[in-house]
Amino acid sequence: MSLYSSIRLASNALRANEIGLAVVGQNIANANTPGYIREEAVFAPAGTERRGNLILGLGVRVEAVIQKIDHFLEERLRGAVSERAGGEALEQMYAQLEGIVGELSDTDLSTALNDFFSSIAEVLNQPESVSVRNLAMLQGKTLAQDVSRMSQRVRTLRADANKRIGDMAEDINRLVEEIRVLNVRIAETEGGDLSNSDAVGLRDQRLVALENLSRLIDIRVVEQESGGVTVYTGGDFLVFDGVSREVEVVLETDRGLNTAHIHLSETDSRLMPAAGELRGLIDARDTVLGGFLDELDDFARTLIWEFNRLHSGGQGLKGYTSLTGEHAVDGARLPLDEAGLPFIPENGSFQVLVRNRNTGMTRTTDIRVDLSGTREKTTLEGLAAALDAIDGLSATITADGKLHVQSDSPDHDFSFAHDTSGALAALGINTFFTGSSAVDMGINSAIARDPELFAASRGGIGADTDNAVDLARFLDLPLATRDGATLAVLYDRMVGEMAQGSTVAQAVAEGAKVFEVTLRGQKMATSGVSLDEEAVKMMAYQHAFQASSRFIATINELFGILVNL
Amino acid sequence: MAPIIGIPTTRISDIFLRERLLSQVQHDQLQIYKSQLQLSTGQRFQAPSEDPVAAMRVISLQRLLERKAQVQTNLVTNQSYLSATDTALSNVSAIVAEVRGVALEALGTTNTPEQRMAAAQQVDQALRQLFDTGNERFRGRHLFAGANTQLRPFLMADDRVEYLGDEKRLASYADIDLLFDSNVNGHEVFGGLSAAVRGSVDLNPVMTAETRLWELHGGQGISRGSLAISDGVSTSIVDLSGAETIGDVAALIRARPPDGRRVDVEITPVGLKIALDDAEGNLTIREVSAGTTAKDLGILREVGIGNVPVEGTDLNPVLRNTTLLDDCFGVRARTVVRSAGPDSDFIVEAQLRGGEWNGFSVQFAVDDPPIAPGNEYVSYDEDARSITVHVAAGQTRARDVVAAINDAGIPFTARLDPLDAVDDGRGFIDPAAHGETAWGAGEEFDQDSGVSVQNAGGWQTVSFAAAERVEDLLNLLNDAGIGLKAKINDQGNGIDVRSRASGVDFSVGENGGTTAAQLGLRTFTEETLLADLDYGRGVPDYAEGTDFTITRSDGVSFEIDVSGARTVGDVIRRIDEHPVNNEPGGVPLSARLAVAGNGIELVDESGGPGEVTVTRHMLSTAAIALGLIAPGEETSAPHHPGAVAQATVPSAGENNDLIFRALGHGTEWNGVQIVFEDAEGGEESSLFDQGAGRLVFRFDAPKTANEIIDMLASSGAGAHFTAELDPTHANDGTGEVDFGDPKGTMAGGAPAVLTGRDVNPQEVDGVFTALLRLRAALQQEDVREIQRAIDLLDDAALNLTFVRAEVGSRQQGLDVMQRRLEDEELVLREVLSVEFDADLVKVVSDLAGRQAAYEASLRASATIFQMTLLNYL
Repeated sequence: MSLYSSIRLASNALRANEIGLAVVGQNIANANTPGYIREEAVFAPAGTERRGNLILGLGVRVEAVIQKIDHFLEERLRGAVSERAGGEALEQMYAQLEGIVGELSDTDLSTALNDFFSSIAEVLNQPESVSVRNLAMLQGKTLAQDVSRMSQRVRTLRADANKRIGDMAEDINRLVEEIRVLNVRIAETEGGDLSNSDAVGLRDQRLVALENLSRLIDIRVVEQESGGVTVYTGGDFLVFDGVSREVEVVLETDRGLNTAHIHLSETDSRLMPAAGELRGLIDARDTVLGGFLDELDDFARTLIWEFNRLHSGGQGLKGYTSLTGEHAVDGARLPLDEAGLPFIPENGSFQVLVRNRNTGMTRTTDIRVDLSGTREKTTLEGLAAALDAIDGLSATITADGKLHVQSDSPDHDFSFAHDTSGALAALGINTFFTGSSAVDMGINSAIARDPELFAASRGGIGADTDNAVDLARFLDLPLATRDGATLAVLYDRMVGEMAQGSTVAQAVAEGAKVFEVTLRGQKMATSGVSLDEEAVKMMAYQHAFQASSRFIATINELFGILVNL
Repeated sequence: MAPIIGIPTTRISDIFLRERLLSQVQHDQLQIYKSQLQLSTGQRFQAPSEDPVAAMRVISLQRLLERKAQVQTNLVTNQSYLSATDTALSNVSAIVAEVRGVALEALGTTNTPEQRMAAAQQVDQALRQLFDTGNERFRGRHLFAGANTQLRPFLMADDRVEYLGDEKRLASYADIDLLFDSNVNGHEVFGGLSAAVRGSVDLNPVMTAETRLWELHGGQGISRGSLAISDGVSTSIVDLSGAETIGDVAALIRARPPDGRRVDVEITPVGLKIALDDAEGNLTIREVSAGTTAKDLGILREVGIGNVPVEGTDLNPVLRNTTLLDDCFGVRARTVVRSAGPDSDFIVEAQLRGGEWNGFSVQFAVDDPPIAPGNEYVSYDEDARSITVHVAAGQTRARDVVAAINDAGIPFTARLDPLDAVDDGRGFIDPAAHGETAWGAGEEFDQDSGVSVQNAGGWQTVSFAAAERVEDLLNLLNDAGIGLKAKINDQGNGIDVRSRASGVDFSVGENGGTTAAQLGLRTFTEETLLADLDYGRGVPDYAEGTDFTITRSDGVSFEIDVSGARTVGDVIRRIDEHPVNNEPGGVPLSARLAVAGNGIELVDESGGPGEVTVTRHMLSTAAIALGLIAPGEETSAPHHPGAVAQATVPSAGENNDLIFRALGHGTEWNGVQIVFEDAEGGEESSLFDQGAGRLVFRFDAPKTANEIIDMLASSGAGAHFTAELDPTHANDGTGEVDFGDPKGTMAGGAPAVLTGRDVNPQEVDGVFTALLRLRAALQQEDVREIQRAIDLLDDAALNLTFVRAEVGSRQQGLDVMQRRLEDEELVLREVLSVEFDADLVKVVSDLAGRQAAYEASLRASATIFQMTLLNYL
């Protein structure tokens, strides 16, 4: 060991501590940089020198500057981010849906329902009052509009979710490309195994990009020897070293919406993420909002059909003189249950009451709707012929396939009763509601024009209020087509499922959030910068630097002594 | 509560610290905002998802409250109707009480006619007041119109008040599922409708393929499930849930026979008849999974008895508006003739109802040489009760047979069996097939005669000739303009007719036929109780013996005692069966119900010269009560004289037309043929053969008309007949007569008839009848009727008391319900509040706690951030 080598040793130490201080400086500088991974200078004793039978150390050397990172934790964190992002997307959609439904307020659908049926109860109080019937009609209209508006708003929300899904393809492509480029640059910078150090800034960027991608879809990341990462989603890879795959939007039709689906362009296989915002939005669009729309449609259909069946068997304060059905058939010679009507009539019959307005005498005719299948089935043509054969009535089929019935003279009017077939309701004759789903629900134009046609009676025109008694308690009437469930139960089920789903989504999102924060905490424990810690390191490096400097001074003095000898 | 987040145990980085503190601050702020929201809205949660279980309870509570609010409105609204009704009723009671006083006063013997007229004026005034009350409107509703409140319920004419309303009540909801009646109708209060004239006659409509399943069992319907048909080897399940009519049921059963078998279904007039094909088997029909369909259809047979057809029980379809009159009053005998193969069965049915057409056999015959197809013909033998269709074996189709029978002019018709018909009966018949008519019952409906009805505006005939269906018949009655209300009765098997007109007599009688009796509508029948006659005053029996004496036109008289007779029929039989009346040598007088209108008729065929009279015993008024003698008279009004039978016998040429007449009245000589026969040299004679009903003149031509007159006068036949020259044109009787067999037939003979009054008029029981009757009685000074009117008034007053009590108790009930509803609402609101309202104390203390936590965490943050090693460097 010579003095020269001692000086070299000390200068090594100085350089090493300078590097150490530089790393501390980098860490302090990035103490608040999101996504920044704490760095550390790795010191190692320098090599040894053999002098005689002595082996002497050559001081210190900086082996590498590395990132303090736990790759396993990162992977878990990305998983948690996916979970959280998916959960949050769903939660937000639920929250918006709840906002639209607005249950618990005074303007919700259940209030509109109650108002409608209360207005019918009022008809029982004042059966003679046309204005009360008008009110019932208007409340029915409000209800129909509320249902329709709710359906429309949920559809809009669903379209928004769908648009976001469509837009997500671009985001995924951008992130995938970024990761691919970073892969290449990291490999170039790190030069494979040539350097022990990490291409720190680039890796940080890549980590951020990966996390951003995991927010959209759940991914699996595998680091390669080269320093590049392979990114998988499901069974497909998105990035493999310097290669990436693009995704594209494929449109399909579902419940009246052109739904966007994200496919890998190369293989045309659909991305089926298990988590991530995409998954959350798909769930929201297809299951939550789509499901709610289905239930709302189902609710509206049940209300329209069952209420109309009851209504069409009753009579108003006046009879009809002319009437056109609301629903058209595909063909007048098709059996009524195969004629493309939105509601399907069944084997049964109904009665037509033709009243002579001068004498008040009524003539009843049974009209058979034979759909038993044992004989030729009744067609609209047959039905029109049977109605046409009634004295005082003429029935025709309009050009667009609707039934038109008219009394032959102003002395006669007509009404309907006792429909066991549902044919009247299916054809939209003497009905209250029109439409066949939530979105097109409305009020029969005949009743809207003339509320006196509201069919409160069952014993003849204006004779009693027996039909209104049933109509008023319709909300509690067990419905045969719904296995005895009532409309109130259907509504409660719809709202209950939504509320329960929303609660679950919130809980899931909250859980994912907590998990993510916990993992992030753990990540920060490893990779986050602690200023105090850096200060300590800084002092240590400073003192080491000072000591090394002193050592050089001492050697220098020794040189001086030697020179001065 | 802030989420619990694990804190790393190894080291803490600054960024972790910062982020944790940030999220803590955010969380605290969020919680404070939530508390603030709870305070400002007063709600524990804003969206259902915050507490879905409570939210669902809240939704149902809110719904309940919203609906109870409507119930409250219902109660208040209807309370007002009932109050108005109560006020009106008290008004009516006051009027009735006042009128009763007036009437009682008028009964007093000291009253002058002027005073009675004044009383009548007062009654008239009361009548108008009541009429106005009956038509009272409150909040746009006619209080007493029944269910059709738009209608003005009462209409006044001179002698009557007509009720146009109905007997229904309006219902409104007094709770979610509780209906209460919100009005009383005019019939309940004022007695707007008479008691129903409802006959004992069950119109018993027959079952047809078009009979709806819900019409069966008197309208109760059947349960539409499935049934299992087995031949002992395999079983077939027939689902009848989609069936609407009996025809559907039959078709569905036919379509699903057990494997490899054929099941024939016949729709009989009462039920179903189900038979397996001729192969061996053990026919059973069972329920599926504890249903009742087979039992309801009357074809349940759980234990087989071989291949014996199942004869279903009577399914008793209800009478409906659209029931054809053709399908009532009895059944036409019929049989189904079945051949193997489709489209080959046909039904043979008698043209008329009645059991006499049962037991006719229908069979085929193959002639030798065989006839060509298309030439089928029928041989009909009424005595042997046989209908034979001559067919071409293997070539005759069902429709050919149907056409042959329908063209044969026999009292039977044929049609294809709709259950088997596929293509207009093109199936070939089996020459061995046969059938025997059965099910015939009842009698033809006398539709053309119509009924004679007395009601508003006197007697009027209602003809049913144009009616096809029950509804037409009802409409004809309702629309006759005489204040009738006809409907199908509550049991759904007959017709009720009631009067809407108070103050007039209401009767339904015959119009020369049997229509009223067949419909069961006659108000005066043999079953009518004597006690019910004369407005329920009955027939006073003079206990000492003879009540009245009947004298026939031949002078024979006999005494009738009505003691012990219960019904009109009893009296009629006493007259008919009286020994003196039936003594040999005379023609007995017969009593019967009037052929036209109502009343007892005494028919005297004896043809005697005298009057048929009824004379009452001085102390008995039974004959008056029975309508045979007018009130206040001793003897009956003049009888309707009979008519003699006569025949005009013209001959060629002039001065030779003769008129033959019977000497006595009555129907006995109707149909007697007058014959001029060539004696061919034999003895000339004029002979009357009573058994054959022939008056035969045998003579040798020429003979003049005058000579014929002499011949008759000088013969024994002259005791019964007389002849004269036809005076319608110049006739001196010198012309010669021609031979002829017969030359003429006698007609137009009628018995002398004494027709009694209708003594069982019905009337509307009610206050209007009482007042109208009272007014009339006062005007006519009829003390007896005044007394009756007072009784009617008393009944009406009693009825009013009941109605008022009911209205009162209903009002009370509404009050109770209203109070209960208020209590209930309180409870509901309380529950809702527990579920939904924010607990302000809790929220405020939460807020304070959160505020403290927030402040503490801010302070802690500041402290933590201040502490750094760098400060010490």
